[in-house]
Amino acid sequence: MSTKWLCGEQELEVTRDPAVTTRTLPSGDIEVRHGDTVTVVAVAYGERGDILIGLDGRTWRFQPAQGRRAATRQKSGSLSAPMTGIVRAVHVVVGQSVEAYQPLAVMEAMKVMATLEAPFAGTVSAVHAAPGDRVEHGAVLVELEKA
Amino acid sequence: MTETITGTDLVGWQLTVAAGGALPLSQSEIVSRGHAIEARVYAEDPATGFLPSLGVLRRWQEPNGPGVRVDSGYTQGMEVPPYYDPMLAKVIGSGPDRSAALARLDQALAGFVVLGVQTNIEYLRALLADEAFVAGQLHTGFLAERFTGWKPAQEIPEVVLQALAAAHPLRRVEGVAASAAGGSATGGWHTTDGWRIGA
Repeated sequence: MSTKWLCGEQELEVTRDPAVTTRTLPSGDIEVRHGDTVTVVAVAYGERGDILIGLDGRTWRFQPAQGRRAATRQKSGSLSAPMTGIVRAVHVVVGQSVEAYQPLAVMEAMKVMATLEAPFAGTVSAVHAAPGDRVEHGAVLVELEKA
Repeated sequence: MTETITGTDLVGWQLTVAAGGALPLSQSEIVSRGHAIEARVYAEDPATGFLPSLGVLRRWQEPNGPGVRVDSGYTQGMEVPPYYDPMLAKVIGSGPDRSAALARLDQALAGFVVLGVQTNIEYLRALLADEAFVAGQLHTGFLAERFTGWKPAQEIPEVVLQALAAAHPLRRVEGVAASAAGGSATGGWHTTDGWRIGA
């Protein structure tokens, strides 16, 4: 049996190797045994069925592939939050015309400010954020119609 | 690092002096031994220009062992909030010389498990493996010169995929959600995964 996952931009199909045995440890980590080689892989479970895995200081977030592609891909003409954080300013209103690279909103997380700029000239068709809102990484903040 | 190579407890001394006590040692009595190097583990994503990465620490296990010291303010289940600095921990490796200290720091970083937020650990390990860094050829333009455009490795090790295949998608770690809600202010008090007092 195989399962399908997304990891960043990669799509993966994962099948269990019959030569490998695995055991779940009390911490949730998984011990992977292949012949004489035993590796303990750190495993945790995130939101929406995500599986988080760590090994040797590297980490991966695997998202169940089914139905997720459309949800995670940025809609063209929309500006999404580049990180989880607080909306500090929204500089535009619905119906306003904007130039390319014009600042539309400012976000803050942990003393880092990120300015969201218009990717092209156009008209603001929707604003989904207000100053003080806490938004998740990837949330759509402003939608634009190309001029 | 100073404490590590001089065998002192500087914060303890500050408290002693503040309470009216005398410094336990004079400058001439302080001897440096060996080498120490510190790395700061941050909740930020090197692949996106070091933007902060927030979330709940679903798995958190600090490294330990000889020549390794970790100073941190987090435990498993706590949330990394948007209001403060993204530093998670300071990891110090020490040994008789620089190469031993570097090796211990690298080993410690490899064994530091942080799941739930993106960290700079892989980037730090890439730095420690850089030959100019190892040779001590450092200058203020070092990162710009050698690490501009650095990206994490793309290939996923086979053991990781086998662990993924074995992981149960419906499993929920009990207690994590509860500790996340109140964890920021209460530290380890709400974690329910083997945290014991007086054990």
